[in-house]
Amino acid sequence: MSTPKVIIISSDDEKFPVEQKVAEKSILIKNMINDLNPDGLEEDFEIPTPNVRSNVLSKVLEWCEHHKNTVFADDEDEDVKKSLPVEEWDKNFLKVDQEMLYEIILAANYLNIKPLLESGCKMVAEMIKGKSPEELRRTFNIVSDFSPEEEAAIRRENEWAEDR
Amino acid sequence: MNAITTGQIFRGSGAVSPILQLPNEILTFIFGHLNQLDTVQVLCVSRQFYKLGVERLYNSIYINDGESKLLVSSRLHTGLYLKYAIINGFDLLKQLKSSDMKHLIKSITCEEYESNQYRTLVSWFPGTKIINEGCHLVASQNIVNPSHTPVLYLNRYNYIFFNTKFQECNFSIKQLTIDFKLPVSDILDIMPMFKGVEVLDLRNTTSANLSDFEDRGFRNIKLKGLYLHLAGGGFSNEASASRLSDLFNLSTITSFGLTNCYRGNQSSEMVWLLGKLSSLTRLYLDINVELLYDAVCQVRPHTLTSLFIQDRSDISSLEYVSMLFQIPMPIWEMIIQHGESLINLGFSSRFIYPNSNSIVDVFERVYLSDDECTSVINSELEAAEVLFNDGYFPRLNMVVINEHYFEISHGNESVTIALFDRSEGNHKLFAKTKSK
Repeated sequence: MSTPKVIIISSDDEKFPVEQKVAEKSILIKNMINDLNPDGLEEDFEIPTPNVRSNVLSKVLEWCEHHKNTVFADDEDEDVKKSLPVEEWDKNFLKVDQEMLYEIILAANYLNIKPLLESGCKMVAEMIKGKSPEELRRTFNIVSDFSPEEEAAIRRENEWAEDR
Repeated sequence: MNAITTGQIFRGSGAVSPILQLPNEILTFIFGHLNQLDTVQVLCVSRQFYKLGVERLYNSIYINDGESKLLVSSRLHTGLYLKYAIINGFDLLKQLKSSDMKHLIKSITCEEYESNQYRTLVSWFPGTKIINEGCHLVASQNIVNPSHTPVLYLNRYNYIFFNTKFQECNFSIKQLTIDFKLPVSDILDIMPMFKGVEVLDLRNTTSANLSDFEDRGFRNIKLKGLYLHLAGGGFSNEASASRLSDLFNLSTITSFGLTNCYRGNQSSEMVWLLGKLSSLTRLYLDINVELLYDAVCQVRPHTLTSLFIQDRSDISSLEYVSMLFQIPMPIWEMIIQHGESLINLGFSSRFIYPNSNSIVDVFERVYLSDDECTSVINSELEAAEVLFNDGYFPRLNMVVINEHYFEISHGNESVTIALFDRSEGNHKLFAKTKSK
């Protein structure tokens, strides 16, 4: 019998059979596999992910497949993690529309895939950097719920932080 | 964090901003990657953003000494992300002390040598963690995104902070500029984290600085590029140039720059140095070219691809000026010696060359090459740019060197200059003239 696969099932019931190694990029899935198969996988193992749609799941699994041999340091220092730029492959991989990006982030959060969550959030942070409040609202389609006076007050209050 | 069914939240949500559907925890995590100025912008976007951002902004404050206000433009940030919010001096902090935001401040960091600061802070912010931390590192905008510009420029004006863990990070900085006007101990402390640096640019360097490096155990550093700006106009003693070969593996260096070297009596240093740089292909000099006179032949002929020389000599006292181009012989020698390999060429002078309205006039004449000349130069010679940084050739903005000739264009005009005939062993140019 061939090596057992992990079959991940999306919220819309699509089945994604992948290598165990690929699936275990998700700590959630890894723990599930280990908890339910303490002696190792003997046959195909189905895992439903009722929170993740198939088009998102296929993106996420594409990431897992690409990184199946990547070793991510477990608990790197916060400074280091935040300071490193998004890896080039991830950057291109995450060049998707905003909604897809957020869905990937949510899925990575739910499935507990920290490096993907980190890359996704950095991509959003990149979109924020260097923009004025007005540009930010435009970029993210946010309607201001401040009155002009309130906004001015916030500016004044935090002026010290821009005085550099 | 709460699990959310990703398929549902965005569907048909045209009017709603997708980003606002992210849970606050994730938004906070995203904001955690922003620096100080970006965080301030975020505060003004909406009430939700304000709430999330303001806690981050005030969480940790670092007091910058009010005297040396950070001279940075609005484009410069505190660094990669907001670890500390930097506040400029005690006066501003005093305002915070009586503001509504006071309760958000979880820690304040100040520099350790100011014990009075410490006492004042404890009295102003009882219950807040006050940290003495002397180690600071200084950087400019280039570090904001190392993936785009892998250059870190350390200067006196923009501080960013690292803790020791950072040293374990394999930082992708390729080029590091250090200004030795900074406290040397700070620089040496952070050096180990830049293991992958390929190009080192040292400003205001003294031989003492180089000794400090050595004392810290730096030896035989392999670099692709080394740029030295010398404090005080030159190497301070013989040992100082030779110290370079202990510190750096000079034979791996392909780009070398020496600037602010104008004091006399250093010809032997130049000879020695250029002799050691056996892989050199790019040479940038801001020196008294008299120093170069004996050193020209130390560079293997036809190996330089780029040559930029800013002449610090007093040209009026310079005896060896090329008759033909009215430029100092060492420069001309250099150009000639590397005719087959040179792609980029630039030179300029602090002084106006004699007889001139001169070089411009000379270059305005047009020379065409002989057929013989073709064999002299190989096809590697391609388009090139010239930096005429002192503006003595205001109209000259480009030099193209191709198989047959130098082409120099200024404005819409262009002129062509042939290379000299090497077989005759002198600097005679093929002097047929032709307007383009």
